[in-house]
Parts: sequence; C-alpha cells; structure tokens
Amino acid sequence: MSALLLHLAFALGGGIGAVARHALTLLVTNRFPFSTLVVNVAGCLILGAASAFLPRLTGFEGEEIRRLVAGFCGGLTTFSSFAYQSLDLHRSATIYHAATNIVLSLVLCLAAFWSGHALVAALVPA
Amino acid sequence: MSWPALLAVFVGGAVGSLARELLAPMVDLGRPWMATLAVNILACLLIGWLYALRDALHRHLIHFGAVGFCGGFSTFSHFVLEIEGLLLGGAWLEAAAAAALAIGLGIAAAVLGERLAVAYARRRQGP
Repeated sequence: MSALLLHLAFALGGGIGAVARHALTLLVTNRFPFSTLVVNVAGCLILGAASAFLPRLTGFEGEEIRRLVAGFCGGLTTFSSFAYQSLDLHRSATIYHAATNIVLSLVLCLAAFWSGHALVAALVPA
Repeated sequence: MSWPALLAVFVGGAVGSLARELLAPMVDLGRPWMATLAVNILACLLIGWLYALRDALHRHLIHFGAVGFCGGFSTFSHFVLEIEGLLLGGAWLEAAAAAALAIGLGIAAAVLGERLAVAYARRRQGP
C-alpha cells in the first residue's frame, strides 16, 4: 500500500507539472520555443533546491513529498519537446537557431540547478 | 484552454511519469545516467511519430500523447541532475559525452519517429 501511495504521489506530481507546462505554452507564443526553455530552467531550479532541502525530511511523509516534487519536476520539464523543437528550428529557421536553443537550454538549466542547490544550502539552516 | 485538453495533458503526464519511474530502474546499461538517456530517446521517437501524424490525429490525442505522455516520460530536470553530478565529480568528459549523446540521439530519434510514422501510414493506405 505504501509503495502504491509513493507511485501515486510521483504520478500526481507529473500530471500537475505537465498541466503547468501546457498552460505556459498557451501563454507564451513565439517562434523561438521560449516556453519550453522557461519550464526546463524552472524545473531544474526547483529540483536543485529540492535536492538540497528534501533529504532533511524524514519519515514516510518526507518520502511522499520527495516523490511529489520529483514527479512535478519531471512532468514540468520535457526533453522530447526540447529535442523536437531544436529539430524544428533547424528546419524552419537555421541550424544556428537550433544550436542557440541547445546551448542556452544546457547552460541555463545547469546554472539553475546549481543555483537552486547552492541557495538552499546557504540560506536554509540545516 | 479547454477542460478536456487539460485533462488529457494531466493524465498523459501522470501516466508518462509513472511509466518512467517504473521502467528506468529496469534499464541497466552500466552507468546510471544511461537509463534516463534511454527513456528520453524513446520519448523523442514517440513525439516524432505523433507530430508527423498531427493533422490526422484527434487534437486531444496529441494533448495526451505528445504534450502529456512524452513530456512526463521524458525529463530535462533529471538529465541535468545527472550531468551536474558528473561535473561535480570531476568527470567532465563523461558529462560532455552524456549531454552530446542525449541531444544527438534524441534529435535523431525524433527524425526516425517521423519517418516510421510516414512509412507506416503509407503501408496502411496501400499502394
């Protein structure tokens, strides 16, 4: 039962994350896939912060929250749309647009994850 | 924004996330990041297939499959978490290889998915 509950927490997080991503896609309409870039950076920032904070939570509730957050970040971020949009940029614009999307996504997401982790580690007392 | 579309995205995202959580631990390719790599490549193959048939499929099937399932099944955050772990561990070359493989194979898989979808649709239509 408890394992089932943890899977449900992960799935619920994933569903909510996907809806949040879709809602942003509808708000931001641009030829450059900014909405995917924003959700990916946001998801990495949250997962980075969570990776510094959530291990401190103990017990079953802690594990539930960890699964919920991990599910949310996985559902909010997307690799498939990122790859498809990079391909699409190469076709509809130039290979430089595609390369810009790839480099920006990688650099900003790595920086976001690192910042989220470092910020929580520095500001939140253990 | 319509409720059926939101529901399709929610269910797709939940099912995709669950599928990744259950499948990824079964993939043993030697290095931990390779499980995420495999899952992401599979999602790219599927999204290529679905988007190639975008005009022929019901829009809520795209909401469920491409936006929801592929988005939930694939993950950018966990991909970055693993790259970050490699970088912090000093494995720069492996981190670069993991990123290059994911992006290169992911885009290749999307192209392959599109071509498979087109070829399959032609075969079903007959000569």
